[in-house]
Amino acid sequence: MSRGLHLQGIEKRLGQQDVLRGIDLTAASGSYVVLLGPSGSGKTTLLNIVAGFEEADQGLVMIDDEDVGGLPPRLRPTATVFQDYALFPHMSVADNVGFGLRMHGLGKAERDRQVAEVLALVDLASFADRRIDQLSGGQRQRVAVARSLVVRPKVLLLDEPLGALDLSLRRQMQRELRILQKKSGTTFLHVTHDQEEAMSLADLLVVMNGGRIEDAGPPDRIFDSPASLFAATFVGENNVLRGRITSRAKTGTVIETALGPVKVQSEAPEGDEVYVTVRPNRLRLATPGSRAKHFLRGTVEEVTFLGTYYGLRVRTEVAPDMAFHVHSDDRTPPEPGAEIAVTAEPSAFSIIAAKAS
Amino acid sequence: MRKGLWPTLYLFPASALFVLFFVLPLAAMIWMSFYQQQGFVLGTEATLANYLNFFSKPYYLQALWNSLWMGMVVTGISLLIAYPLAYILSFHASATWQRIGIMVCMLPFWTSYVVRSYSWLLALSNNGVVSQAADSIGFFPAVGLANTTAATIIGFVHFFVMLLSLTIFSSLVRIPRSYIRAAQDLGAGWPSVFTRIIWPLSLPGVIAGVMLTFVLTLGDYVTPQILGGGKELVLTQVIMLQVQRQGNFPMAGAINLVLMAISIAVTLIANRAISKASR
Repeated sequence: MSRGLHLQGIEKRLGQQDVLRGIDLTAASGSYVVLLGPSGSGKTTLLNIVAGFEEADQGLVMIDDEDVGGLPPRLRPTATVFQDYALFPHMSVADNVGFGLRMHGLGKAERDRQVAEVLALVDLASFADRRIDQLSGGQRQRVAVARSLVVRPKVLLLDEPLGALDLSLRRQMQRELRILQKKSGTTFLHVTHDQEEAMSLADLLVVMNGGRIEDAGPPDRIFDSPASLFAATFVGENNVLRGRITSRAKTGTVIETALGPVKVQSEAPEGDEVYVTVRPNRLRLATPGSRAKHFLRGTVEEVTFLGTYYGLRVRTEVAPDMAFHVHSDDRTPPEPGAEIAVTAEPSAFSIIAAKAS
Repeated sequence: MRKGLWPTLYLFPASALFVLFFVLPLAAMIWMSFYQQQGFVLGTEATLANYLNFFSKPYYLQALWNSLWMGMVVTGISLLIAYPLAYILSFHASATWQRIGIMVCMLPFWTSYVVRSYSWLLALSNNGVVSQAADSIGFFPAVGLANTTAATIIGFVHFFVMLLSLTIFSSLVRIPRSYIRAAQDLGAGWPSVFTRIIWPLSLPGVIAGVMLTFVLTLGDYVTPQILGGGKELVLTQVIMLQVQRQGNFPMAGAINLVLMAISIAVTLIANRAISKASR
């Protein structure tokens, strides 16, 4: 597996503030990498460091095993799709897309051929002579991607590329980006704060917070067993309980929590203090009168219709300062005020070591 | 009275003033320019004689050429100084320095141009600061710069560099920095970034400033009159001579209309160029 992108020990300070702290990241060539985090998490700074717009104070930036640190952006094998697209308003679509080729000294005939090819790839073949202000938001986005792809970068950097689009167009562009990435075989590094977008696009999802990588891996692994409390709560809705491990066994671990002992199947981390998390869709409403062991008993506070399921907010007397989220696909969910019991399989839980956090 | 009439009435004072002091004199001047002065009265027949006179006598044509040449030289020198100034101000200056720079550019607008011209006359005179400074460093004998065409150019350039800097600056600051990043990212070095991105996008400001500089230089009477020394007359000075010395109002009107026609033509061409450049 060749390393398309390899970052090692990246540090960046701005004045008194640590913007990036000890970033290590390796992504296979041709993979779709998504940096996900809230604003101020350092994800855009990291993108700029890979592009060469900013220099890291320390650390290594390698693309296809070549150190590109210190190179100006124009000499790096990267190309960027900017948040505002940065399409040149005084040039036609074709001239915009051909700009990079022209800068690399390609002749007109070859340029025209490659521009036509990439415009066909993004479905804009008939738009070559249009001016930028005659395009819709989605079309501009595709021109921006085409302009960057045509110079055949080893890593394509996308800075919140779908942020300016409305929701339905955004979902459509996500699919198109994914298809383009597979077709071109280019490594994509995509920055977003939209966790749904991140999960649907990423081969490698990188969750960032406060200048650190909280978790990195396939999106389904991060969703099912996040490595940190932040990753557990930032990526999708979650229920989190603090607890202490009371017994470890091959068959499972028992954790003492505010709701009483919880039996958990997943492997227990080092240390006794842990967080137990369980997704709202892994919680089940117990059938009335059932004698099975309950995870929690409480009162329904709020019922929200969410299309394929109802979202219930449940509060329990045992831990009145916490609200639990339960999804129910029953078409006749309990009314607000109803007393309910909730169960969960031991496999539904995942455990996070409670470190300094 | 109908409700709709009131807005029209409100327009009356302004329109009356405009008609009385602009439209009527202009019409009178146009009308008069087609008659010849005969003694203290106008000739009886409409004629193109004043215009034919203008375009056939070397005295007038020389003045026309002097005006156009002055306009081009002043515009050219001002642009050469103003563009780098505006560029540095918008790309390499902190917000504080930008404010200071704009303040400095605005200063000449707050002083009377008569006062400004006389100040330059003093500065450029034999014992003025400029001559003294040039003398003291043994650079070149600047003695006698006052009352020359060079003095007129210096006076003009001083003012129009500031004007051009402002129009160009306003174009440059509006260029999103991401355009420049995008161009660099796609492999462009500084020369390409400048010629393909920055220059074309600053053209509207450049053209607007150049047009204003050229037209205002062409139409200015005070600066060449005070600083120029009356050796190489420009059109505005010739017009004044017609009025003051000859009392030939029809001829003055005809020259004035030629000057106006040139200014209007330049403005129209510039407007077209701006809308083309900013598309």
